Amino acid sequence: MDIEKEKTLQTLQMRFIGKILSTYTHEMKNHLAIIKESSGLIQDLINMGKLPRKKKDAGPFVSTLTAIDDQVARSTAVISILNRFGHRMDNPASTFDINEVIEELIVLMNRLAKQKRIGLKGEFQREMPPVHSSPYRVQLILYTLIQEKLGALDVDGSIVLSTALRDGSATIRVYEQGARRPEDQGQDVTPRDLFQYAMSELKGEITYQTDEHAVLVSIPLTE
Amino acid sequence: MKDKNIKVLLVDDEEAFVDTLANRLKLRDLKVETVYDGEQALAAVKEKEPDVMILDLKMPGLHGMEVLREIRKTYPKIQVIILTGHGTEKHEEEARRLGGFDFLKKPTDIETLLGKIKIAYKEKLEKAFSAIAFAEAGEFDTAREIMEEENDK
Repeated sequence: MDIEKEKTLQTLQMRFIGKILSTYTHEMKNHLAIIKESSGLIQDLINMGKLPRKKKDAGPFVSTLTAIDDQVARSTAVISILNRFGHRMDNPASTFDINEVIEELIVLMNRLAKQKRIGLKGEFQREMPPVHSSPYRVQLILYTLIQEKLGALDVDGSIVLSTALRDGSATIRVYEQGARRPEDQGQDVTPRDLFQYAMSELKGEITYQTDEHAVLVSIPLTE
Repeated sequence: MKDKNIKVLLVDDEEAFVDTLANRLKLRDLKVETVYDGEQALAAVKEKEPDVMILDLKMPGLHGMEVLREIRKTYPKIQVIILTGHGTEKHEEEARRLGGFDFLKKPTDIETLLGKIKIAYKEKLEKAFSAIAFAEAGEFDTAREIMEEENDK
């Protein structure tokens, strides 16, 4: 084990967790603000004596109550994903469904991509066998690759994470759709030697397909 | 001062939030328009000429801070109140440095927001009235100074 590289990876992991937390606490504030304004609107209507006397006049009330329900559902979904994300770090390694781990990361990074008007999507091979590895380290590597592409792609582009089964490994190909920004035509900035090290520790591989601005990550299946 | 004369532009990418807040402010007699990103905001100010803009920071495309910078440059009479869930002290400092009138964090209380809108509008009117008063008294240099000070803010 390379102590220096492990320390750097831990620092990157902390930054990753911090970014996800700050993004989603911001998201939750928006959800709470919608709930607060919706309940406030109902209170306003009651205080102003604008309560509907007939069911057919209750439209605005019903739609406002539905908005509260929708926000609670959105918040619950986000919290569930964050909870699962947190528990990925319970053990250094575990057996997991790679599609599920990627889907979770896509949900967690969707807001970051949306801010830059870039799409983020998965193309999943169905019925992938489970892998035994470190889910949080796999997420860290994919997060960093996505962040790099978010910095390079022009608006309306997309980042795709595609899974497949190949030569006894689960593979994830991270590739781009759409044009890069003119000022970002240069080299990828991912710390390659660090990620080569991280993947070798996981008995996997990372291959940079530079001409296509794509990266292939391979993780061995559970034995 | 009648509240129904106050024209407010709400700018936020959370449509459900903007629409509900707009309804609440309309119930309080304000004239409210809504847009859902920074580009729409810059287009809307030209057409709607709001007195006060309520502006989110983190939006897809143009960031709220860029919108604020542009508004202060091109429409300095519009009072801009930041209302954001992404409110760090650094953001607040920058918003105030750029000439933002106030900085509120989500979720906020409607009466607090309404109070800030009224103060912002009142300050805008006072500046305009004092410039007119000096101009009517023949003190054109002072009137011009007030207008220029407002434009430089």
